[in-house]
Amino acid sequence: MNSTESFPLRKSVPWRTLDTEALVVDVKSGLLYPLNSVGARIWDLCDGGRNVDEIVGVIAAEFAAPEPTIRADAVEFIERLADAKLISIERRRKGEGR
Amino acid sequence: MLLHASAVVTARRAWVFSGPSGSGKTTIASLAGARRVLNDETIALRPGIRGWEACATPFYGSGGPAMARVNDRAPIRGLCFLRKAEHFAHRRLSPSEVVARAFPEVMLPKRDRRVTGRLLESLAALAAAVPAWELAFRRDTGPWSYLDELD
Repeated sequence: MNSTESFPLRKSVPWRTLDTEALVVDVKSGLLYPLNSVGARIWDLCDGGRNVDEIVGVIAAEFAAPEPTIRADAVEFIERLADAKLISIERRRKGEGR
Repeated sequence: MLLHASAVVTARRAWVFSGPSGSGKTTIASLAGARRVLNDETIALRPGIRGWEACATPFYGSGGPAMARVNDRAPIRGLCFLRKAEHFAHRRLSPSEVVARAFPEVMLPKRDRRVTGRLLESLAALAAAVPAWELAFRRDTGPWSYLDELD
């Protein structure tokens, strides 16, 4: 994944936050995905306006863990969300309109 | 909403026991003794004037028609997600855990985006208002004195 040209965007699925966690539902499969606080924050940041680099930067600033660890975990998590078809990944260069 | 659950009234309030098939819903209802069983398989949950209520339904489980003879309701004392075990044990569940546990146990005619979104909201309201636990229980002993200690 090119982290500067990949812009994750949440799909239009039912979800809500509870405390710092989030619950996301894949209506097609009927599965509910509970996300912990870090996952919930990444989910919230997948608004199509931030690339993966920027999402990693926000998470690194808010959670106490080494940046390389955060980057690896965040990229893997975003790829899993994409595999589950809960987000789409828009490919464009920074500054290009949506 | 209709939840796969049994419910037993004790001290005028209902304990609601939910979980997938085989988790012990009927077993725990059969251990009710003289306490009133609202149902052993399907309970209607609704917000009432004095908080969430558990309501009897006619849809009984493996306990048979005797488990669905009551037409009554009661304020919910607590919601337990069951797990059979050798010893009693409990763990308080967070609101998100409650929603995640209850979500697959709710019966819906369809699960489109709108209905699922409303279900999430209802379960979040339930989780915020009703205390809930994961409850491991012995199948040969009623949990009532154990439950009295939960808060």
